[in-house]
Amino acid sequence: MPEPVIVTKKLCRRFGEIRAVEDLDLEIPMGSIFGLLGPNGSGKTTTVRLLLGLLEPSSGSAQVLGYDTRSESDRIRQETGALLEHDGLYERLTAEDNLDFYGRLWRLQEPERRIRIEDLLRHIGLWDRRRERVSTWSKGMKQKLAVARALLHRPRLVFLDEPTTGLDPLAAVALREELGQLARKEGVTVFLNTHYLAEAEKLCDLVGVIRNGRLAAVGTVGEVRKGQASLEDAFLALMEGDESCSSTSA
Amino acid sequence: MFFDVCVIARKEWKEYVTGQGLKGGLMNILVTVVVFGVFLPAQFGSTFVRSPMTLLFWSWVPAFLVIAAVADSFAGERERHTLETLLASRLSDRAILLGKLAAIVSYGWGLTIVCLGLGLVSINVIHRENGLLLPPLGLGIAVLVLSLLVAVVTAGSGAVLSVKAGSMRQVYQAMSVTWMLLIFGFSFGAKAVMDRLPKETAATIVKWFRTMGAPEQRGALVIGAILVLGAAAVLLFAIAERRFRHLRCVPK
Repeated sequence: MPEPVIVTKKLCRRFGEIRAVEDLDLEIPMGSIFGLLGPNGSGKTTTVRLLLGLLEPSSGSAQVLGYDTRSESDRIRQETGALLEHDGLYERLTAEDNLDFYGRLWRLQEPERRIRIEDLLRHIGLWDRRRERVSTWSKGMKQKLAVARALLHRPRLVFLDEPTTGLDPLAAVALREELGQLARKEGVTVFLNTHYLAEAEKLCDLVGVIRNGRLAAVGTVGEVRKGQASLEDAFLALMEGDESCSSTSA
Repeated sequence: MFFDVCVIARKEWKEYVTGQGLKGGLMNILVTVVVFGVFLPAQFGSTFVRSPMTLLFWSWVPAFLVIAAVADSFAGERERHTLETLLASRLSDRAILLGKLAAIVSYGWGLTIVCLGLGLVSINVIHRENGLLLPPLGLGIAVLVLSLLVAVVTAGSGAVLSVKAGSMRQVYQAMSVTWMLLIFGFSFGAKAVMDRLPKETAATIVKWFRTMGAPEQRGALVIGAILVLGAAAVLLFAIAERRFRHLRCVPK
């Protein structure tokens, strides 16, 4: 089994009385695509924020790429890429300027930066539109660009928080395919938050199901299905009694 | 660190210039330069280069320019959900803060200097019969230093407000109202207070101001203002950095 890139032990985060994440134990091996599944408000985004060191855990611990999220969060952010809840693109700038800014920020030198931007934009089919302002683009195009931005500096680990949310089915399928191809091509470990079960089934090597901040199941898609006809059935069985899971779609 | 600050400042400048399209951005800058660099100096006449009141005017210009930029840069970026992605990158809080402040100050103060230079040219063209009109060296240096410090203090206070403000509009309004209160409050408030004071006290105060405003005292007055503004700038930066660091760990 490859070395784990993310290890959490009894990781908890509370906001007052609300337990957003509770006793989370995870071990994610290098090079895998891990999907964290759960309905809205189940603690997926909080988990990503905790792993990136954007939030302090209330108790427990987490190590990402061997760094402690409490004391070495700067190192974690230096070596990972992230597409958070919002695409985070500068809408007043062009697509090329957005990637150029983040390329400079990640200290990619001039010839390499230009080549990398061209390579990524061509791969996602947006090279011809690189000089358009992002504000004029569709949500699907923006999400593709945001994924490219997260991978720009060739991070070893990338966090993607619901990258296909709000996309129409065609755009979601296209982005999913691009994402899978890019992740395999780049050999990057992906931590994917999603509530689209089909997405997880197609993309992920490992999945975890989170419910009310607690990990209800974790393993390969086959292991989580546990004899159920589909991942959706397994998910619904795990979510039994949880009204929020009605917002989750397959 | 220096490189990171430059990267942020470069991005901010790009947004100022191309934010409303390249034409719109350049048009904004052009209008500012024409109003402050040609129209207003032409109205002042030769007072523009001779009167110490010039100091007050040119201290106000960078504040006016900085207010809009600082509201957009901090609160605006949070409102547009781009700040969180920036905070999740390898940049330190200090680099982000300094980069943004550097861009804002260079924009506000830089445009002020351009307007000032253009104003001098305009005055000399309009009043060419009076020969070369230049401000006294001391006044010129005081204008440059004070306008820079006003830009820094305005940017710093905008950053402090922005980190916790609900929206960009809120920051813009709070800062505009504060400046209006400072300018008009001082003018009208001082008169209202003086009218209510006993005549002897009022006369003593007026005498003190006259003494302070005398040419031989002006240097000390300007140095005092520089020290106060410098201290305010350092304090505001420290507060902004503290608030900004906290922002990384605040749940959205």
